[in-house]
Amino acid sequence: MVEDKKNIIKNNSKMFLAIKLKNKYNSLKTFLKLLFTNKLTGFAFIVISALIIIAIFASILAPYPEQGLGKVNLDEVFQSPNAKHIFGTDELGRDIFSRLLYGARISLSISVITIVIALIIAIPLGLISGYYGGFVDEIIMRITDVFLSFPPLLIAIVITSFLGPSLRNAVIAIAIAWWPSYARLIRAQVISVKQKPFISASKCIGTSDFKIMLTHILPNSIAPIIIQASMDMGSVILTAASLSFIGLGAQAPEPEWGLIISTSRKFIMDAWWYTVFPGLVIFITVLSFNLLGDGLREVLDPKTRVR
Amino acid sequence: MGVYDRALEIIDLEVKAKTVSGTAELLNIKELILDWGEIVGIVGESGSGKSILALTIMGLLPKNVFVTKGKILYKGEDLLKKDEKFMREKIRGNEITMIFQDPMASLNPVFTVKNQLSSVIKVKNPKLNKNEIYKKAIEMLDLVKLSDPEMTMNKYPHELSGGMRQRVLIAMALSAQAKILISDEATRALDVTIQLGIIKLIQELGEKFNLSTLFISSNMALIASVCKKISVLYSGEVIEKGNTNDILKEARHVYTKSFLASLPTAGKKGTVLPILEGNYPSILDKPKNCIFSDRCPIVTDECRDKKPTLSAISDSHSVSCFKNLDSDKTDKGA
Amino acid sequence: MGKFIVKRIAGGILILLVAFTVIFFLSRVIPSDPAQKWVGAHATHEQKEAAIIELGLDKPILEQYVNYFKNLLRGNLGISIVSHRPVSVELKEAIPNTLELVFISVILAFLVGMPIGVYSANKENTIFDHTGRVFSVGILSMPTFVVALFLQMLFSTRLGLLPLTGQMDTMTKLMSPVESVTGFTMLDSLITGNWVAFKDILMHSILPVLTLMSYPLGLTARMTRSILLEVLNEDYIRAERAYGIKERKIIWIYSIKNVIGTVITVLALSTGYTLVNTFVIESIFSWPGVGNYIGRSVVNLDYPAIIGVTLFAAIAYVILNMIADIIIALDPRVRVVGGED
Repeated sequence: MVEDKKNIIKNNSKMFLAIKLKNKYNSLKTFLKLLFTNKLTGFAFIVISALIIIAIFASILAPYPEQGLGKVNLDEVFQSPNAKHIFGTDELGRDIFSRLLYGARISLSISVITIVIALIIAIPLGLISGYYGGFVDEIIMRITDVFLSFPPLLIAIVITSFLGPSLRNAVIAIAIAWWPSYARLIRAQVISVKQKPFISASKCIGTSDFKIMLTHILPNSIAPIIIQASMDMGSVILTAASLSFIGLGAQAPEPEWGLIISTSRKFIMDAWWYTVFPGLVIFITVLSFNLLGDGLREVLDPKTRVR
Repeated sequence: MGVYDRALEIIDLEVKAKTVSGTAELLNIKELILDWGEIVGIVGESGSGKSILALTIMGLLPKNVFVTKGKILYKGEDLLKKDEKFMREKIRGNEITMIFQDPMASLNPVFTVKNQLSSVIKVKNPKLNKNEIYKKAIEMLDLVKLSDPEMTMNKYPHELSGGMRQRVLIAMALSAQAKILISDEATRALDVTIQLGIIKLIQELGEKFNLSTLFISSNMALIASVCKKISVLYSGEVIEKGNTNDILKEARHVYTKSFLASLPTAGKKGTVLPILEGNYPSILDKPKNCIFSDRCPIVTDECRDKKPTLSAISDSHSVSCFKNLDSDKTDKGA
Repeated sequence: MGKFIVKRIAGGILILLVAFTVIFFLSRVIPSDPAQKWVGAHATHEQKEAAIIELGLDKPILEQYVNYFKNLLRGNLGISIVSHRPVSVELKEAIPNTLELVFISVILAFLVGMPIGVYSANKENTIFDHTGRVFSVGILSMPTFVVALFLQMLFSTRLGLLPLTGQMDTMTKLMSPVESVTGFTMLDSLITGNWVAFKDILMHSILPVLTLMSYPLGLTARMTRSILLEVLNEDYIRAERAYGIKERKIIWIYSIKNVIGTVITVLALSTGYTLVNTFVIESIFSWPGVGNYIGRSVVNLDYPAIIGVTLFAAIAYVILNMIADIIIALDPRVRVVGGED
């Protein structure tokens, strides 16, 4: 008897899971359909998917993996694009195509890590600020005011120049420059969620503030932040590349896109491919993220026009 | 009033909209006539296509809405065949003008009354100089009974009350001496106490300037008090029309009857207002049968099969229903 | 209105105070050794001790903080570690050159971007509109340094039409030097009627200006289009059309005034971005401005110089935000608080 019951429960939960998955699959399908109604957004989606695959499998896809990571090959310096090196080679004979593939890995992971750090700073502060309000809120919001008064790139430049130039410090600096906008967003969400009846209900049965924030408020206010964060990927990549370009981010021989272009400047007279291909790669990447962001915004909130 | 005996003649008009989910049929009007000096009421609930009708006549349809067939005759000319430039320079403002339903949103928030009123006057009277324009503007504001025209001139819209804004808009609408006025729910956004004043003003000015007015509203009582003739619009189609008396006393269509029954009257204190079952038909794929058949309590198989046309039951009164025609005792000819 | 402006200025000063404090503590807390930098890597211990006293680093941190502010008020930004010249003097030379670039770029971006946006909105969903939109998204996705390098490659190395780097040719500098009147070199050459120098500076500034204006141009076009589309759907625009007002007047006067406040805000903000962009691209063009200066300072970890530039950027930024807020407050809709329904 007991066994039977257990089996029923087991089967039921299996069925339930299947239905849930199917629903998820269906909503994903409609979502993708909506994304692809706009051709540009569809294009952006494909490019970004490809980038993620490239970033993961860079070592397999790159024709010269060691050169991608920085191995010098002085026999083949400054080769213009040819069958062997489709994007040509740099001043140390390295295959630019391979280096750009590895660069995708760096750029994508930089932007993900940066945004995650920014969220780690922003979520607790935003939660506390929105939930408790009052003096704490005032203090936190004035701090974000100061940050938001300056462009993220400026803040990042100042911080990295104090911390010392390196990719790690660039990530930290950009995250520090970026968190206030998320904190603001979370705070606004929290304020709207905390007025819902189910929060008062939880309070009435004596749930602790910490638990309410974690189990009720956060899950109900996280969606817009995730969306905003994914839309910020392009700008973060751009900021990181700019930092590397002025020498405050990645250091040689890291195959970071901004750094590659920065190095290429010295040879701009002779080796056009050295600048052009990395430039185009950054451009297409950031463009795709921006287009996808626009598309997402339109799909998720048809009222707001592309801004 | 000229050689043309009709002020406005709408024939076989069909208006459709392109939407994400398909083509929507917004208007399908076989015939609608406005005679010179007359006030004709168009009554219908929201979504019945009243405003679209007004915008179609003005040639101001939104970009996704277009006329698929029909004619709108004004002084013998089909307005639907005219280009934007002709409509702007020759028709809008000085031949046909319009009062909108939301005076809060219909005045430009960043310009003064003076600026907005003067520019309308100037467009239609390009020869006037600044002083004359100002005089004319004051005159217009005086005409719409604004207590202090001089002061109102220098105000921004947000500094005026709703009623004052609507008066300013009426002044703008009438300042180019149009022959036809379309009033699209002119009082909907206003307080009840102010509504009456505005209605009276429209009536009064209509007589003064000899305007032919198309009076659009969802308020049957209001329409009945102002208009001599009434057309009832349901889902973009005229389902019944006639003189005000015909409609009020001898309404034939179930929809019109329920519309009238929902009017609270002094004598009916305590009675429960009737509720019409069912929903408005979807405009996306309109039924080929009677548009009212889904909700009609006296529906027959015929109604579900065929579409009734607007047929006359007396000289002035016609209705679009199989049933009421047949069961009518006085007139079976149609 | 006056009250609002005073309040806004006070707020701006407060933000600056906080920013200065943060920068001060950053420069003291973060593990770096200014005294060592000051004397160089091969100095003796005594030299370093002397430097510590000379730079005031032996004093308690609060006293240092107070001194820092006193110096700031006197316009004393310290001595550059690299050149051993006062940072304030070096900045005074560099700032006008940067501002010249920034202002020209932003004004041009506005003059080109706004009509593109208006025209796009007016011709919604035509080929012009689509091209305009793709163009502005594209331009916003292009890193400034890539724009700079591509322009250099096209116009200098390929076509040879424009100079690659610098503000003036060495010949010009020698043969017809620009007298300093305002400190703004291009303006000075114009004022003193030094046409040779003016023409030369103009040619040199074309590429940096094109680079810098790309971002505000894309932004202005995009913003103008989207806000204008919203405004053109408003009831009052429809009413104006119904009363026969000319379409051109409706677009260029009646709707523009509703849009212009937002566009100017965007412009003020993008002026700030453009300023920061000069930090990235001035070194590409060897333009003798603040960007070039901070580029050099960053490489050499010249902290007094970095702090000086940061302070300048902070002040410029706060002022820009303030101007934008005040312009928005001039909008009659905002002016009467609670006047809207």
